Amino acid sequence: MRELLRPRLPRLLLAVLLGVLSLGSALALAGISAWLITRAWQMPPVLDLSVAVVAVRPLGISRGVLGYCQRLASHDTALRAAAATREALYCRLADAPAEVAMRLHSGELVARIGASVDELSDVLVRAVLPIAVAAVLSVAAVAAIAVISPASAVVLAVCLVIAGVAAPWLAARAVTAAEDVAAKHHSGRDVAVMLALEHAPELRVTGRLDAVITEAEHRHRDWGRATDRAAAPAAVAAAAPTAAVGISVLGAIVAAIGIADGVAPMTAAILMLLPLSAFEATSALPAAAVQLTRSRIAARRLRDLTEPDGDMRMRPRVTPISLEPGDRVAVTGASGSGKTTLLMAMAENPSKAAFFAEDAHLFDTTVRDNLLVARGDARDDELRNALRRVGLGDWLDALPGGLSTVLVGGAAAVSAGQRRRLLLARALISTVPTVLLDEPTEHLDATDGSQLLTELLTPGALFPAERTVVVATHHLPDEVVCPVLNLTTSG
Amino acid sequence: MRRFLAASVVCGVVISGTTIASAVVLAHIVAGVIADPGTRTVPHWAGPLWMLLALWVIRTVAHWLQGRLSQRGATAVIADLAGEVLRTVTALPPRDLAAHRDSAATLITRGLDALRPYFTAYLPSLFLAAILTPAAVVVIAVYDVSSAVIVLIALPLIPIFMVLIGLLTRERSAASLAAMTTLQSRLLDLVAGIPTLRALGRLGGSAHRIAELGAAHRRSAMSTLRIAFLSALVLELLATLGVALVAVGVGLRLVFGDMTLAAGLTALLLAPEVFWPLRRVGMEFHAAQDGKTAADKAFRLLDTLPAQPVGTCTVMAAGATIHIDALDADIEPGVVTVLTGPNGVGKTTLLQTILGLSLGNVRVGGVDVADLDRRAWWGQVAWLAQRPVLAPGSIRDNLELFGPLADLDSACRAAGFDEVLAVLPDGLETVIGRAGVGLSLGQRQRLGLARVFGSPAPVLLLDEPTSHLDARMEARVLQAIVARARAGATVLVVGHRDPVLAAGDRVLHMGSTVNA
Repeated sequence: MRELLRPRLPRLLLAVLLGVLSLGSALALAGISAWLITRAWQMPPVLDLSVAVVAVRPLGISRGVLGYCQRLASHDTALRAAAATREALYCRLADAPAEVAMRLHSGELVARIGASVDELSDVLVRAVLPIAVAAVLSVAAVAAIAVISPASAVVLAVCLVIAGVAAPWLAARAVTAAEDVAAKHHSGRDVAVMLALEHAPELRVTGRLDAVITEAEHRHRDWGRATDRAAAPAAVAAAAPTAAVGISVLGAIVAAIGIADGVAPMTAAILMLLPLSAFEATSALPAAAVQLTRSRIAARRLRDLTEPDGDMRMRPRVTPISLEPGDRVAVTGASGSGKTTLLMAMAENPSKAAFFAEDAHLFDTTVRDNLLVARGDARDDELRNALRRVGLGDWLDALPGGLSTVLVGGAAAVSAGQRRRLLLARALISTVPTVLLDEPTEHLDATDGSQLLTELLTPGALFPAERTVVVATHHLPDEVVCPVLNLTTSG
Repeated sequence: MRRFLAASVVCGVVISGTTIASAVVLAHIVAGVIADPGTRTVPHWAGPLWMLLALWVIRTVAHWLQGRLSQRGATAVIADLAGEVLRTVTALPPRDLAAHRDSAATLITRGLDALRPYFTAYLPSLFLAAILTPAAVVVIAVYDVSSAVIVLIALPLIPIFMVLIGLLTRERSAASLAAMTTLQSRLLDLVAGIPTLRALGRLGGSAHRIAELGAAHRRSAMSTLRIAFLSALVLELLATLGVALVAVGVGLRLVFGDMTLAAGLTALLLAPEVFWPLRRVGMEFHAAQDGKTAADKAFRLLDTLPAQPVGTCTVMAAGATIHIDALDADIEPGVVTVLTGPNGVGKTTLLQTILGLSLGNVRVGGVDVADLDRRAWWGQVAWLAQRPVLAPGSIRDNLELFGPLADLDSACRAAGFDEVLAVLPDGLETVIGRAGVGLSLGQRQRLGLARVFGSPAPVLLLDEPTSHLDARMEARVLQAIVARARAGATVLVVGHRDPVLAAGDRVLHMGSTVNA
């Protein structure tokens, strides 16, 4: 977790200091209040109280103001750490094997990376900081009480351990158990739900819908019951701090009764009342332990994401086909026959050959920037020309800002056919000698698809005659004349 | 739901009662121990100490019980709501279902789970704020009116300041929140683009861009947080100052002998109990928001969906003619009718209209489909959907998913599924969707066809029955379709490939101007 986050220690320490001072103010306020009231009861001259009366107000203010500063400081640290994590992750993904990067095509996966990074960086604000603050303040409270009554300090220390260690441990255990339950039950539940949602009309007509929904509900309830069982320690964790305060107060009273004859009334009052306020810092710890667990899970998820796992299907090594400049080759075969694998194998050297994936990404930026990805120094007229040649001339003319129009949401801003053509325009703009196109006419209707394929595979039609073009397609129109490599499914 | 809420309120009342009572007893003991040296023995205070212990035990148990109840309540509510959403959405006409499918899937599989913190953390703290806070004020007033007045002045200031801060900063925080969201999505966009940038050899500059975007994101997030944390600041400031002022006020009255030590201590111990439930509500509020949003979405989905009309007529479909108003055409029994036309013209929708899933004017044997009892009608139709449903389980389970087939072997032969069975490791007992065993699109299509051919229904509606099939298989399937028609079935086939058109005794063309 540390290596991914790389938190800046001085900033973190500043946040901890502010947190200690803020909650320390509250503790001091409780002690002074107890002193003030007991001293006042002795009816001394009012002047004797003035220091306490004056001290109470700044302490009341500093509690809130320092708390505000602490929140800002800790969140700033966490955001910096999140940025560093994203950068590190990006570099790792960029250097990872192609198979790892390929997984990013799933939008949901990318969203999960975002969520995991946030979850990971939350560990600073919600776990590290409260734990540090609670540790410092608990030691301070125990030390203060120990000066008055060592026996009572021992009781307080034990209770602080119950509230600050045992309860958080239980809460964390509940979260881990709940995660296990979710992993076990969610997929079963989700399969039933998706079956019902995706095939509802057919299932309805055939009278199976009710059974499928009942199954989904049944699984949902199983999951619920398992979740409830897993959450049991969390309820104990929620109640434990209350018990801890109670025990320490009772212990303090018994201790105070024992020593009251030998100490000032103010001291006895502080001894009996301070335990009530000593638990404020530890009350945040069950949540901190939960966050710690979640962040660990997030860190593990991110690590799994950037490292190829053992059972991930690595693409088999294939021998690239040898090509002469100007060749036009069509690779055909049913889905799963290895067309994409072959093309990717041929794109090992990016300066000689470029692979244009079927599901390549359209960025949430201008049309221009989306095309310049292929070649940074292309001029606007070259871009317009490329768009016209792939049949997007009318579309470009209709865009409000021309090339500067932002494709809001990337691929969501265009139709499936327009997306295909935009990706094809990228291939036109690039100057790599060999262009490897994977299913460039998928999602186009039959006539358009055939025409485009013909143009792609005819030297000089779309691509200049001297460039090499390899097209993988599962549907090659009869009228195209070019060498065809047919891959047959072996399994 | 109601039982859970009632139980949670009862727990809130018990927690509030024991909290206040233990504060009063504790103040009494402390005051006694300090004021009267003669009482400084444990046996003297045994009664109150036992009482304090009992109160604390009850309070602890109530906390535990509330935690447990709220977990169960959350589970029940989430399951009920998810089930209701699933039932409602799946009952929609196909077009509406498609529009709501993604949001419903997200809600059921993930979104509604976020309701858990709402029930386990937010609601209990809300109940406590509604019960403990006013009760504590009342008890303080009984012991010391001036302290109650201080608390009562501070208390309403909290919502007033919160609202004021909210109003003053609303525009700014909305703007910076929007900026933050945009930056976040840009970052994710760049991550999603890694494979593309890599393939084009242009990854170099983008790591730098990620760092820039990250820094911009932090700046805009911080400007949002500077505002967002103001409300917490006000809450803490007023709560701590309120308690501090109570302490000073009590102290000054004690100096002049205007009140007893026990009364003063009671006020001092109860003052924080007035404020902390409010602080907890503030803390839990944000964690509960996701769940609340999800629940709102679910209720909106449940509310806005139209009720389905229910018909009561029944019709003997065998031998009946199906009349389609939009095409002014009859689909007759004994012949194969092929429906063709360009993509997106509504051929699939027309099949759904015939089934009574979508609205439109179609009559079966002279009766409007809308007036038909759907179950009775559907029992007489075999429909091949575009993507035939496949449930996790064995091949046999899937073939018999809609009911046992009349003659499983001949149905599989007619659909060409026998060839698929021959290559599957365990034949009919092969479990699909496990250990990498799956069916290709063509194999799935043939499974769906076998289901249709094995059904005794007199009406066959086939949506592109030969898609994903090669020419040989296509011929075999078309032959089986024609045979069914000749045997007297009413057959409507959607398709556009030449062999399919050739197999039709009658071909209906749907142009782009026709709306079914």
